[in-house]
Amino acid sequence: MQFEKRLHEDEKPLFTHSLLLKYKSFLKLSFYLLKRNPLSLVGGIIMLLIILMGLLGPFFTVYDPIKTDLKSAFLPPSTTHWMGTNELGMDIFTRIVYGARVDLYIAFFSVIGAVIIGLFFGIISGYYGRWVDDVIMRILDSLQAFPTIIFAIAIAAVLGPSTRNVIIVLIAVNFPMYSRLVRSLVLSVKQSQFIDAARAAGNKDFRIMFLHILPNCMGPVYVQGSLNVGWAVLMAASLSFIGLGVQPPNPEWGLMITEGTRFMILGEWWMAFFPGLFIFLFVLSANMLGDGLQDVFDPKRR
Amino acid sequence: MFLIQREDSKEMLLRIENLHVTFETFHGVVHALSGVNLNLHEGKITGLVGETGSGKSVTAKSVMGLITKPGKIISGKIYLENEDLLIKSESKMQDIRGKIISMIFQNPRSALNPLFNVEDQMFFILKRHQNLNKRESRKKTIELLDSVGIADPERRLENYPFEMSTGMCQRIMIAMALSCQPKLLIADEPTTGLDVTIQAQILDLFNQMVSDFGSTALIITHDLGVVAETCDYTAVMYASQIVEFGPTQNVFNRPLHPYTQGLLASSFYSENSESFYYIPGRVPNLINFPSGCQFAERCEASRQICFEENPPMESLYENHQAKCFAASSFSKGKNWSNYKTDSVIN
Repeated sequence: MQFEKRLHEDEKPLFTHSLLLKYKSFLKLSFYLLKRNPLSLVGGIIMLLIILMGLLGPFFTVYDPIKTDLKSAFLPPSTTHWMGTNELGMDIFTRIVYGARVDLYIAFFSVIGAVIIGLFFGIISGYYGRWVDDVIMRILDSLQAFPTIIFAIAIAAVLGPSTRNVIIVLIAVNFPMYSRLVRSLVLSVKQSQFIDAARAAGNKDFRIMFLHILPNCMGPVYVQGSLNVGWAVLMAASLSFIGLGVQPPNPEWGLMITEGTRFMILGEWWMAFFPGLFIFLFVLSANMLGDGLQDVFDPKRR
Repeated sequence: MFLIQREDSKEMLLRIENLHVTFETFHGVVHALSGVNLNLHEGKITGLVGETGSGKSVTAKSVMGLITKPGKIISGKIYLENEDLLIKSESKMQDIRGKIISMIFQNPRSALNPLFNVEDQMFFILKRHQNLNKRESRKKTIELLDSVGIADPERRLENYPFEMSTGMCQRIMIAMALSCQPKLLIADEPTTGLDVTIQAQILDLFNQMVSDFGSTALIITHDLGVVAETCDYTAVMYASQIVEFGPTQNVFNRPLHPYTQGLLASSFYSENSESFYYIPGRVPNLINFPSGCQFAERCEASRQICFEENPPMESLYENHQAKCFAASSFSKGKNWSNYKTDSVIN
């Protein structure tokens, strides 16, 4: 008994060695890792369902998301209207399904854009240091000094309210945070001996920055990014609320909540509840998935 | 001694002439190197020995052109095959690093990028300097890993640095450093983080690889045993200067500088090692240099002149030089411990 147990423990490192050979394809490997971390698998499944919902929207529902039908206004959830209808008689479920497109579009592109721009400035300022660092960081500081909403209003006032401009606003508001995060990571990774070794092997600055330093800073960025996906949805909702984001009657989850809150007090809870539930699910799944993503990209955690 | 005798050639691969490097700090200007002269004989292994902070690594970094702010090369020349490295542009130096001069680092595990496996890391360097494609690089990597004595190299290609032992990582570092057949190989304390048994293996491997590839090597270490085992020439460094240089056998058997004598007396290898000897005093502050000989305060053989004038590098035998006023009397077989009694009698 004792012996068998010990034998099993001895085999463990061998197993990790063979792991990489076994799961050669990246997809297989990521699925394996997600399976090892069940929480992120749940997150991944929810996220996948929401994405599928957005892509295959019309197959889920028979209603039109923006067609008013005053005869069926204020209907509570039932078998015909699964999540009820709003004050204009639009089916809430239909609007949520179509709204998923808008929200996923905003969330992913604003986060990816902010990460890319943020990484670029962060890595340059962290790597070169000194006056480059000073100039970049002071400019980003001044961007961050504006209250988010006022900054957003200023940009939206210039560009005009639209979905695309919401993304631009979110990127502009968000990327300095990534720059700061990446810069601090670069400062510590830069000191590592393998960066010295990379320089001693004759690598050029850009190669060192993007091949050796950058991948070593990505872990916290994935986590921050996945947290930010949820934040982007909420932020898009608040921009829509003050009329600078997605314009009604376009379906957007945050906008639907703000429309619904007016009727909440009268007992018509479903108008705000269901979009809120989906935002909650989306944000939650993004966060759970982020944790697992870190495992996929960091060989040490495999 | 376990010296490997190689054919002597008069050619100098690397010449460092009067190199001054300073670091500007809050407390003042630190003179990390003040007038270092060092010649590396082609095809030979030279050991650079000295205490921590004596400027060994700064010498190596200067040769690589990797001195960064706040460090600065004030003056001096570094010739590699009669080409001055210090006036070369950064992009020229980038082509030289890794291809013509390559370096092995102290802690092999942290000197490999943790996120890439062996195959990728080798591929990066082979693509950079030899423009090999993935398949050629894989083939060459397997050959190289085989030649540095890694069992089952094909399986090791998939391994990440954290999955291997430190000795294994150092073998891979050596394979990487030698992958482009560099003319000069600098090893910065290559065996410091390793077990003693692995140390011997790595040194053997190093020795063999350097002869196989016909490279010239500079080993930086504070371990006299390493020098005795591998190096053809030894340079002893003290307080940012080279105080003694010569063939290893001569330096070990007939040290001309009191600091070298002290080092040897305090090592495991000395004959009367019932109690450990140590050199009294401390390394001088590199910010405010004492005038005269840097070692004078700690030297038991020091005289008045030692505190006043900086001794010149004196060449006493062929290739054997020391920076000491008393070097010539040491060369007559006198040891520093009996030097003082002698001078008292005289």
